[in-house]
Amino acid sequence: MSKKFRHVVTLMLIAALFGIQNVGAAGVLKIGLSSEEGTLNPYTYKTETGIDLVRLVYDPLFQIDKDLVSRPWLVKSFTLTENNLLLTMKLHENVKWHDGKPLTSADVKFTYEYIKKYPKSRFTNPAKNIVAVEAPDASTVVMKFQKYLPDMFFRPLADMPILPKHIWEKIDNPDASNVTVGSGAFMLTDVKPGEMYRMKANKDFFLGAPDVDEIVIPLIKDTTALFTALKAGSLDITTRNLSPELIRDFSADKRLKVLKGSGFATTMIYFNNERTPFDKKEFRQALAYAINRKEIVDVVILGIGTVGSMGFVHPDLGNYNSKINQYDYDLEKSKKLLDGLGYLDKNKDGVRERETDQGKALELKLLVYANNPLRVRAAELIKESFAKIGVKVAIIALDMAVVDNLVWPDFDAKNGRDYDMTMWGWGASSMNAMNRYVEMLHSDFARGPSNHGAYKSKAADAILDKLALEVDFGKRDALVVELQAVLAEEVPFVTLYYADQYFAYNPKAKDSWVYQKGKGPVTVLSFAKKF
Amino acid sequence: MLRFYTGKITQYLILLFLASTLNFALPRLMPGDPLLYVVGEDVTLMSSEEKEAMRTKMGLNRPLMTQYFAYMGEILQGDLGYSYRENKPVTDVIAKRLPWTILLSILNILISTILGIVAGALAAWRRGTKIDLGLGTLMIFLRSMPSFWVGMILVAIFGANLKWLPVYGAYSMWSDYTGLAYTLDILKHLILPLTTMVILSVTSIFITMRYSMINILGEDYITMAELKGVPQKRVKYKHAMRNALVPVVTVVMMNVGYMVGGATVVETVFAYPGTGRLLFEAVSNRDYPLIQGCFFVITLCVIGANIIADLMYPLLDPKVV
Repeated sequence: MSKKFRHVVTLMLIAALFGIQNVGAAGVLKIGLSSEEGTLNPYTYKTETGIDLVRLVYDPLFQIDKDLVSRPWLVKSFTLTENNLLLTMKLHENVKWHDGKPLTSADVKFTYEYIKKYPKSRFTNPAKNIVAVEAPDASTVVMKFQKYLPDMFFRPLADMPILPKHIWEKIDNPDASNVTVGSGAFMLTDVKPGEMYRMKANKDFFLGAPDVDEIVIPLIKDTTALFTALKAGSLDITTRNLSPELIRDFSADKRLKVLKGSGFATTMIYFNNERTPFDKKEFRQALAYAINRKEIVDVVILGIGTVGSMGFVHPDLGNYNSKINQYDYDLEKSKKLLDGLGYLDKNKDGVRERETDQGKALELKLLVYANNPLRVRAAELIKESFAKIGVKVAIIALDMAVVDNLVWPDFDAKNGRDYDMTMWGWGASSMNAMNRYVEMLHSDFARGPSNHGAYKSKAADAILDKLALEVDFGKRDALVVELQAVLAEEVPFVTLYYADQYFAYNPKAKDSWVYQKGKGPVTVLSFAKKF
Repeated sequence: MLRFYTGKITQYLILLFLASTLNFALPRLMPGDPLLYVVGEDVTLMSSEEKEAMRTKMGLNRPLMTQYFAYMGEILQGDLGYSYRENKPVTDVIAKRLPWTILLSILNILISTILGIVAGALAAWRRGTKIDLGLGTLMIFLRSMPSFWVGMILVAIFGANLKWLPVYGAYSMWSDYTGLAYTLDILKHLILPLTTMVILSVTSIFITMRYSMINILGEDYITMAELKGVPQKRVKYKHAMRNALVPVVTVVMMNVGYMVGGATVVETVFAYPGTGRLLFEAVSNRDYPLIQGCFFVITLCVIGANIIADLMYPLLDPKVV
C-alpha cells in the first residue's frame, strides 16, 4: 500500500466518522418497522401494523379511540333512523386530499361501491350489509343497511379508509396499485417496499397539523437489530413492543422513555377437540389443571404480563367474568380426572395407558413455531408438568407455514386438521370482537372458519347465535360473560397469558403518545390533536 | 484450443439449464402458501372462492408443467417475471438492489484479498515466528465466529455504545444529501457491514496464501535464487509471491461468484438494501418469481466467475489446456 493511498483511506475514514452527525434532522421521527407492508395502501398492506400505518395516510369515517370505542372521525355528526337501518352522516367540510382536491360524499359513495366491485375480505365482507350509499349533497352521506349490527361502527365504518374517487376510479387492479394520495395526517412521499417508507406531515390535516414534520419508517426485520437501532438512537420508536428481557435495560436508559400497557394478544395451547383423547371434556380439564400458568408467566415472559383466563377474555375488559373456574395448578385434581377416564399407569413406566387402547402409552404431540422462542419455552414447561401427571409430550418445532398447514389448512376450519395440540396465539384484534368470537368458536365451520380446534358445543353455539344478532351493548356483554363460563367448563383451549406491552421511545423526537388499549402508541391517534 | 472453449460453453449451457430448472422447483417444494404473504393476515378472512380467484390471478392454479414451460420461455426472452410482493417486474426489483451489493462485495473482495495476501505472505515468510503464530491465531479466531454475531458485536460497540456509526441501511433515509455529503453518508453506512464481511472473507485468503507461499518457499528455484544472491525483497515479491497467487485466484473467483447472494446474513443484520437481503425476503415471502429471479442472477454470477477463472488458468498455467 503506497503512503499516498494510505493517507487517502485514513482521511476518508475520519471524514466518514465525524463528517456527518449521527442524529437525524430536526422534526423527523424515525419509526422502526419489523413487518413487510407492500406499497402501503388499503389494498396492499399485509398486517395489522400495516393498516395502522395506512391510517396515517387515509381516513375512515369513524375511528376506534384509545379505549376501543368507535367515534366519528371524517364524520362530524350522524343520525340513525328507520329502526336503525338508515345512517345519515354529515362529513367535516374542510377535508382535502393530499393533491388539494376536496374530500366529499362522492368519495365515500365511490369507496363503498369500489370495495364491493374489487373485494378485499377485511373490508368487503362487513360491507355486504350495506344495501345502498347515497350522496344527496357534498357533505352528506346516507347509508342503508340490510339489518342493524352494532359491529358496523367498527367494521367497516371505522376500518375502511376512504379512497379518492378521482384517482381510484381509474384503477382496476387494486392489488397491484402504487397510488399514495390520501387525506390523512401524513402524505406518503417515498415508498420502497422491503426497505422503507417516508411521509411528510399534512399541514392541512382536518384534525390539526401533526406535531412532527416528517416520518421515516425503515424496515428492520431482525428484532435484535431493530432494538439495537432504537438503543443506538437511530430510531425513535418501534412498531413492535420490546422483548421482555430488554425492558429493564431500556427503562434504565435516561435518553428513552417507556410506555406500558396491557396487551390483548394471547398465547394459548389449542387442543384438537375432535381427536381422541381430547374429545372428552374431562381429559381437557385434566390437562388444564396440570398447566402452571403462573409459572409460565414468570419464566417465559419474566412476569411481564397477565395470567390467561380460562374464558379467553382479558381481565381488564368490562365484560370479563371473574366467577369462572380458573383451574389453578392442581396435579391431584388432574390425576383424579385421568384415573376416572381409565388412564392408569399399570406398567409403572411413568406414562399412563388405557386398556381399551391395548395399553398404548399416552403420548401427545405438541406443535410449535420454531422461530418463536417464547412459545417453545412455554411448550417445554408444559411438557415438564404433563410428565408429572403421567402424560408424555413430544414437542415438534416446525416452520410457521408447516404448523399452520397442519393446524389450519388454507386458514379455513372446514378443511380439517392433523394435530394433537399446538401452541397458538390470536392477535389483539381478536379480543372483544363479537364477530371474531363467532369465527373462532362456532361449530358450524361456515360460520366458524377460525375454529381450528374443532370445538363443538351446543351451549356455546346457542350463545354465539344470539351474540351475532344482539344489538344492545349491555346484553352483548352479558352474553360474553355467559360464554366465558361455558369455555371454562368445556376447555376447548387454554389461554396461557396476555403479555404486557412495553414501548420505548425517544422523547426528544416526540413526547406525546396515545396508547391504544391492547395495541400500542404507533397509530394515528398519536398524531390527531383534535380527536 | 477452440475445442476446449466449445466444450466449456456446452458444459455451462447444460449447467445453466439444470440450475434454472432447480430454481423453479426449489421454491415450490418449500412448504407454505404464497397467498399468505401476498394477501397478508387478511388471508384468514378470505373465502375459498376468493382464495381460488387470487391464485388464478397469480397463475398458481396452472399445472406445474405449464408454469415451468412459461417460466423457461420467459427466461429465454430475458424476462424474469413479476414479483407478487412488490408489484413490479423482477428485473426492476433486482436492478434496484444490485448496486448496493456490488458496492459492498467489490470493496470486500478488494480489501480482503489485499489484506489476506499481504498477511498470508508475511506469515509464510516469517514462518514459525511470533508474527506467524499471532496472525494464525487471530485468523482462526476470526474464522470461527459466525457472521451475524460479528455484525451484532460491531453494532453493539460502534453503534449502540459509542454511537459513532449508523447501524442500519445504506444511507440516511431521512436526509436529502447530495454530492460529497451523500458519498460520505454512504461510506459511513458501509463501514460496519464492510468490516464484518472483510473479517469473514480475509481468513480463507490468508490461509490459502500462507499455505501456498510455504510450499513455494520450499521449491528449489527459491533456494537457487537465494544462493544466486538475489536480494531478499526480490525473492519474496517476484519469485515467491507471484507464483503463490495461483490458488488464491481460485478463492477470490469463488468470492466473486457468490457476490450477489453471499452477503445475505450481513445485509440482514444491517438492514442493508442489497440483493442478499432481497433473496432472504423473497424466500420468507414465498415470492416465487422473485426467488427464481434472485437465484438466476446468482447462477449467472457463479457461472460467469467460473468462465473468467477458466479463461485465466491457461494464461497463468499453460498446462491447463
